[in-house]
Amino acid sequence: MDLGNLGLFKLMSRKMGWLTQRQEVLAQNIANADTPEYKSRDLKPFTFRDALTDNRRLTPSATNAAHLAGTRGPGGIAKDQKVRDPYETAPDGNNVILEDQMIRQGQTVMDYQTITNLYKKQVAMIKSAIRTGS
Amino acid sequence: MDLYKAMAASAAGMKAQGTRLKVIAENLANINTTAETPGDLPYRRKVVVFQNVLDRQMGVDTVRVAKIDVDKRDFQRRYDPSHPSADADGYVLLPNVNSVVEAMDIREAQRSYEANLSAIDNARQMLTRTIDILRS
Repeated sequence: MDLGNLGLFKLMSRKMGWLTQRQEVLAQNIANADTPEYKSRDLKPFTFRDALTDNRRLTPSATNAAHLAGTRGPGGIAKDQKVRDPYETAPDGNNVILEDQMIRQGQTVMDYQTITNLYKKQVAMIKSAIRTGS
Repeated sequence: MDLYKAMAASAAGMKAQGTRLKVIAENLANINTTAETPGDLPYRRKVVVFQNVLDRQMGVDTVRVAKIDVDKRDFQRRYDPSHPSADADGYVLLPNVNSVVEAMDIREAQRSYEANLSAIDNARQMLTRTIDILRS
């Protein structure tokens, strides 16, 4: 049995992928907190629709060892976007607010913990189902 | 894996802020460095210029120090005829370093550095959680 084919597991792994990507985008924002003209970005919120439809980008297959893999791998699940209503913009055009980014990161980590706990619980449930069967 | 990309971006940020800290330290250390002979110029304040670069290999927007430039502001002057580098009128040129400005800058660099550090910590926590799944 492939756990990846089960609806719930598929859903959870997609959400985990989204959270991972969000963490990446937020880390880029924080790294560029003092870069002039840098605009902070975030992912589009994870919606139920995204969860159900497989909108992963197609990747060209490499048939020769010399083919390049490309910069955006199959991991690019969600599109990122510029933050539309920035709270504050510095005179140099940078609108990264560290506090705001920290909150977003905190949310991401918490959500990730929730999902991994859920994952573990689900596995435990399947395990106990198997155990009672034997 | 994407979390490693996040860590790479944060590490680049820390490196850039570290360079900034180094430049500020240079400025502060040379706050009293005057010229040795009349007509020579004293120490000129240095500033770092950050630049956003795309790491093509990883596919992340990292940051790096584009260049270390000099501050073009005018030098300060002080009346001190006994000084070896004093001009005919008895004025000595002093570096254009303001300790208050530097202190503020150092504070900001420190804050950004800490933010990057906690971003790495967050990514690490997420990674640990993922590995924890294997343990259950």
